[in-house]
Amino acid sequence: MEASSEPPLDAKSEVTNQLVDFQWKLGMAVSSDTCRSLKYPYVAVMLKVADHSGQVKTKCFEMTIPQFQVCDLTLPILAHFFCNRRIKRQDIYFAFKYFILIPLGLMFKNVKLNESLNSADPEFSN
Amino acid sequence: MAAGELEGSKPLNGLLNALAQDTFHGHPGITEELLRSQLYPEVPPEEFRPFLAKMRGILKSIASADMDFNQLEAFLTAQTKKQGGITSDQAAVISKFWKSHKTKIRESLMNQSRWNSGLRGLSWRVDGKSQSRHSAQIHTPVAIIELELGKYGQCDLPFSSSVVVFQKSEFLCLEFDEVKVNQILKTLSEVEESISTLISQPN
Repeated sequence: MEASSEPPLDAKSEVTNQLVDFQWKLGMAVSSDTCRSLKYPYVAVMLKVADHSGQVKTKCFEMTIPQFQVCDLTLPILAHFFCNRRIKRQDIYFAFKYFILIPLGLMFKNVKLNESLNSADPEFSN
Repeated sequence: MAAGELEGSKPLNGLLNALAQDTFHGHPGITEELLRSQLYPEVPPEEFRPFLAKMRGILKSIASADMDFNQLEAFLTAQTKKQGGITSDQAAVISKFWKSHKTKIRESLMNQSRWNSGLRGLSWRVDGKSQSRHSAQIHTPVAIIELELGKYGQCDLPFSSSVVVFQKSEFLCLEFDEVKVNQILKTLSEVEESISTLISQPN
């Protein structure tokens, strides 16, 4: 077999794509034609992904803050199991921390976010 | 007299529910005649029509301004004082309705104002790659993340205020090595920091 400088990840699968670039912005929707007072922050993401043929496509989407927080919570769990493929005692502690302690903390954070957004804005009051 | 029959709280609550379904949640098939025959059968159509328009207008004003409870009370009090406005009983029903449905209606309005795809779901898996066409033996973990992206579509129906909201999902599958996973985590923490800065700002 000839020596190959192929990178360890073989992105030839027709199903999966390789992430080439990840750009984000944090926006605030203020008002629209259907709702005068929107007042919600959102995270807009632009992904550049390469398919199996090497063709690069752009995918854009938005997340509300709670949706972003789910990603923010989920990916560290992925990273943890990425490095620890057998279940160990620290996995149980990890699961307790991420499925119980942190969601409780997020619930309180969401309350604070909602309170700060619902404070009266003179520009939009009747 | 038909006007007295317009004051009942149970049919009004039903009417507000139906208006919310039609105006905000995109439920099809809610016509004026259906509402009248189901909720106010004794009221003639020529009296029901302006009443329906008035209730729809009030609900849209409240939702559009995303009124908090102080603003709501002030608004409804003003509506009870104006000519051709609403009664105190009707104001109480509307107030109770908004308090219990505000979150859901607001969520629908936010969804309607989002024109890009939204993130509807995220799944992940860790695989252990053992062989490939070009390498006999590799033992590298691979993270596979599947994103479900949903597009919101809208179209107008003949009943002028109706908007049907439908969703199409697209699945995007991404492959990551350990380096990329850590890069993404670093980026997410930057986003989290920006969100924290936004929340902590006084305005």
